[in-house]
Amino acid sequence: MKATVWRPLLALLLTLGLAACSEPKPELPVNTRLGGDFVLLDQNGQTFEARDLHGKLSLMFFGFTHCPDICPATLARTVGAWKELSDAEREQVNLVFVTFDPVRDTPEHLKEYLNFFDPSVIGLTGSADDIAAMARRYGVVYLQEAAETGAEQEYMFSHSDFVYLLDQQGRVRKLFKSDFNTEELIADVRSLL
Amino acid sequence: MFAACFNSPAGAVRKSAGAVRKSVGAVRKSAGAVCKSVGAVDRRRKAFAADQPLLQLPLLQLPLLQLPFLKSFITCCVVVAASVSHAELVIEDAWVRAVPPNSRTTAAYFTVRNSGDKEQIIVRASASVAGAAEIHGWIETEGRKKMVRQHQVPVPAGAQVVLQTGGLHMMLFRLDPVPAAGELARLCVGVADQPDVCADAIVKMP
Repeated sequence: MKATVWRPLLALLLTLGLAACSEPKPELPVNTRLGGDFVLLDQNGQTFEARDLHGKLSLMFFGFTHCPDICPATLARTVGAWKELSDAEREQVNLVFVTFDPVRDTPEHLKEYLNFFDPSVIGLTGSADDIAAMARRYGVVYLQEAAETGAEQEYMFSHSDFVYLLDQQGRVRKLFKSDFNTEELIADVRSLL
Repeated sequence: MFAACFNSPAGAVRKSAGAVRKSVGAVRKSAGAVCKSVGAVDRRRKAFAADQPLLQLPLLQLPLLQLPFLKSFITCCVVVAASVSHAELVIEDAWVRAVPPNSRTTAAYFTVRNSGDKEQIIVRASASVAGAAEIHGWIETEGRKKMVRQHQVPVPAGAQVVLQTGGLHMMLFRLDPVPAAGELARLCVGVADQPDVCADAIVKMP
């Protein structure tokens, strides 16, 4: 009697389990509220537009080079995840760092700074207005904060800390927190290649 | 003076006094020899622990040590040492984030353990590779993360505080020169009216 009840149930569970295993991961949705055009300067002082990223995926992060903790940590982790891809896969993924501190992060400064992580990283700076316009489009929030009296730095920034995954058309497909899971990020990148 | 006293043959005497045992590590720190781990301190304590009362140790049976003034001196050392408020802080697992050569700032991370029975409050920090150091934490408000300097960092008795990425961290300013990966940096923290507690930290890319 018991076997009569359990066998069909077991078969059903196995069938569902196998179906779940074989089901492809749903495609990352396109975020239609974030993203868009921008015109900035790269670390070589050349004009760089949103369309210059098209044709490849992009992992994009916003920060500033005088940030001692989260920015270099996130940059290092993002570059580290990118390096776990195969050579062929890396060829299809841009790494982009956008500063919101154009006063200190000149193209020359950005170039030397980013070379430390990997010469492939595209560094973007520009006028404060152009950076602010881009940040608005991408939903990046940042605010220049005056340091307290006697502090070592004249000013710092408070800021959001997402890593953006853009597809080959420059559309935002996913946002990762700065303490992202590397395996998850790599899997999502590969799902779009 | 304490160090000289404790390093004398009579040093074994004070180590047998229960009240003094707790302060051994910190007194040594005040003499400039910073203990790098709680485990090492504990091992030393166990090695020297003796259950005999202070004045019944064989050492004090020696003729020289029978002199009243010497007994008084030893007792004085023990009493003074026991009355000093010691910062039983130890820095462990310290490292410094390797940053580009044109960086002026970086961050250091470590665990501060308080093996004492009183809360200790860190009020200063320094690093051999930086012109200045401060301990900062993060707060998140309106979608933004903001660093906030921590003028005081309490380390509860018998507990530890962990400085790590995205949390409390030691900011190092005016790097000169910028330390390269693989090098060592000396990190120190201090509580009020106490000598600094320091440890060597490896510079690395995590």
